[in-house]
Amino acid sequence: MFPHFLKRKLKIYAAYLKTDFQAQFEYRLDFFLYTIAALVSPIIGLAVWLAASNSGAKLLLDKDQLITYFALVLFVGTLNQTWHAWYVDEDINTGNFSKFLLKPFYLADEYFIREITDKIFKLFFTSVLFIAAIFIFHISFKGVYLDLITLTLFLVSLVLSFGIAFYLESIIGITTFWLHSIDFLKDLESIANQVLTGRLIPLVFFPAGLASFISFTPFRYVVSFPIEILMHKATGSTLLFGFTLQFFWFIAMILAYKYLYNKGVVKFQAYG
Amino acid sequence: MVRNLKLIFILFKHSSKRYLENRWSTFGNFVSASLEIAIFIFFISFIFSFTKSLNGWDKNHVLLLVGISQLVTALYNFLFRRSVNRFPDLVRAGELDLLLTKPMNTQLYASFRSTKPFELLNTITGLAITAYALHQIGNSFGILNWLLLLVGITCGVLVLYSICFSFTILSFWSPKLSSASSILEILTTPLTLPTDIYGQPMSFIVTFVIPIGLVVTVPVKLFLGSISAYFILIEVLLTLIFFYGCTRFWNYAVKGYTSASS
Amino acid sequence: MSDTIIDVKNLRKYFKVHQKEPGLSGSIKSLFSRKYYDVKAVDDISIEIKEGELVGFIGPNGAGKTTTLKTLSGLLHPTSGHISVLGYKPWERKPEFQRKFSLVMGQKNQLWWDLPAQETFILNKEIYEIPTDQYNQTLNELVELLEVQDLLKVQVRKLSLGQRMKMELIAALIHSPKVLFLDEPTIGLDVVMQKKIREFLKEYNLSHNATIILTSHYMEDVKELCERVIVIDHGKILFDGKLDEIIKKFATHKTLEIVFEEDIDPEKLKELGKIKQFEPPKAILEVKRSKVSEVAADLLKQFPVEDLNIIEPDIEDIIREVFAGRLLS
Repeated sequence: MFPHFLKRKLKIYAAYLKTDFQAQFEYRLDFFLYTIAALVSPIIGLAVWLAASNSGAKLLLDKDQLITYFALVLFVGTLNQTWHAWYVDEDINTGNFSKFLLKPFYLADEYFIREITDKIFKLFFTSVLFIAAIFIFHISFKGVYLDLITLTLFLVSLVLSFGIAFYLESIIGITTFWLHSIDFLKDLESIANQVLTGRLIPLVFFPAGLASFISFTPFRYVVSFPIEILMHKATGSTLLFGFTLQFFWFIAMILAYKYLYNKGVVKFQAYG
Repeated sequence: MVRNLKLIFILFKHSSKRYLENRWSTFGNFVSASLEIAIFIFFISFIFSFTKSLNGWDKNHVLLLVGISQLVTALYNFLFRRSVNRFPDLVRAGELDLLLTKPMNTQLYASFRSTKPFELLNTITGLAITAYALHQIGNSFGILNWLLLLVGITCGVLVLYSICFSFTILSFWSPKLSSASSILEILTTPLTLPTDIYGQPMSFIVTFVIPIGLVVTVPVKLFLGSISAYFILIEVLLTLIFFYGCTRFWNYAVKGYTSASS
Repeated sequence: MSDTIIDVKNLRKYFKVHQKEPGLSGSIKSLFSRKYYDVKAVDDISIEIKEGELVGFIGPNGAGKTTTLKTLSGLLHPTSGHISVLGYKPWERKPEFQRKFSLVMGQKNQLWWDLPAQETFILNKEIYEIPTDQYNQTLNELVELLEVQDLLKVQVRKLSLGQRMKMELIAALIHSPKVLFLDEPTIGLDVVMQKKIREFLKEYNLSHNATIILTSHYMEDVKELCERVIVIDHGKILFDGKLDEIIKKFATHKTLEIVFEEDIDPEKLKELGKIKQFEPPKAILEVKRSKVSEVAADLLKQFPVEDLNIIEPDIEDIIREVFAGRLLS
């Protein structure tokens, strides 16, 4: 029973994936612009902290490490960039959402598929940029550890980070059921994304109290944590603590999403 | 020229009437804009807790830049933002066709049709930050400096318009384009920082090629006197070039649209 | 003698459309190289329209009606051929030209959605530089004709489709254009409203001597309004002339409805024409147009006829047949 159900789901996913892949080609320009948008943070972050360093600041990351760090932010941050809350908002407000109630397909699934195809494109793009950056800036990747264990931990953390980012965005999207406009939430998300995820400021620069606080929020686990693993900045108990929290937030996001989704569907069915 | 001004005035009147009802979203907009600027200020203060200068800029000068950037952005948002962001809808709904048959400057109409009067509230934040920064800087500035700033800000708004509108013109070819509006969001953070932080040659590129530097950094430098006052001529010249380029791009796009669409 | 104000010669409008091969590999290929082919939306048409005429373009969807209208109003560049409207080349979109015509498209609005229609009129007053006296006079006239006095201050989004269409027409006519292009003006409207709009257009055409070109796929529009009809299909003009002439040109047959006094031999009837129906005492005969009077006379001579009706085929049917390619000769 179970494997059959899974197989069917996979088949649907595959078909959807293929169609969406083609649809993506139509949105080439959109994709291009959004990806450029994701590049801004690491570029600015690097510029600012390098300038600070050049002007005499004593930072916990030296110049090479800064470059390495922000190159990784470019990679991870772009990969984890999500914006489908707007599409969810539109679907709900236009009533398009009904199609999810009619088909045996879960809302998150459709956007999830789009994210996957989106990631594949992004992966390609960011890899190219990444390699170009390596050559242009002679990035030595000092401080990056590529042994098997670190890489495995990094990849696991990366997948979890993607999940957290995706479901957080989905949650914002479905608040449309209750809020007139998600603009405000999106603005808050954007601020959090800049400041709390490590995209602009390496979290290690924050004073201890603030850094601790951020460790308890999901934001550290969207960009910073996987990078910390790769750069061996999270080891031993910090690593354990980090992973625990990352798992926690991953599960919490999914649960919160499902709960809100079901509540939202009830409301939708009542009012249309 | 007079006709165009009259048209702008009427469009402005209409916009005020149309969006009068949305008080909540105006308030929300003001709050989130203020929040965003507060975060910028936090970011800058944070950086300056590590260093006394950023490639020649000290904290108060950067704060001044933040204030001016807020002012310029608010002015752009007031005049152009909604019209520019909603332009793809015009194309998609086919309403652009009807506009093109009217004896008026369609680009002007498309750029001014949905002004956002309540954005002027956000200029208050900008002015407040500017005032604070000036107070901290302590120097007095003469009439010439203020004049340069005024001209600089006007150029800044025009350059910002040229960049954003050029991106929205892309929706002629990609009607589903929703990210033309995100170009402004891409620019928001870079605008609050002096372009000098990028070092050469990026600094040069970011000022003259992708003219972000022209929007805020140059006007502020002119005001502070850290570059020669004659530079205003270059600023004005470049503004006109970019604006002209934007208009040419528009004409090119309309020409293609009228050849290709059915 | 009216002037020719619309002159079209050998107009061609082709669109380049790229055809994507199906499937994933097709998508990838389309990223790098695209194959284009020509769609001949308008394929060599020539028309002359004089001032004050009310002309209808009819044709199925995709026939080229809207493309032609868009070319005449300057929204599209012709691929080749000559067009002149009011002495101007439309695609140059000169303001002097634009002040003299109006385009209304059935499904697209020019009215501000969340303001009263009046505000759009004021906007148009500014755009078209209409002097205040003239504006007020025209406005009053149009408002009275269309009976919308009470609706001027109502937000457009609160109006019904028909009321909106009336307002669209006012907005389009407020500057007293000499030429009015209407693309599917009655689409989506109920029968009563359609009639009202038609009456208005007819009245306007007569009182202002405005040249009106409309496209429609409602036969009623064309029957009621247009003396002259242009039939378009696949970018080509199939017919251009008076409506009743369509029948003469395309209807090759007429139908005779006969009621006989007594039983007759259907075999003998077959000699006179094609029997479409035979239920004694009634019979329906299809006869070539040219032979109708001859056959009628023969019928009366040879058969005991109680009643004889000569029926013209329905215009709708004819047009339908034309588009179906059955009657192209």
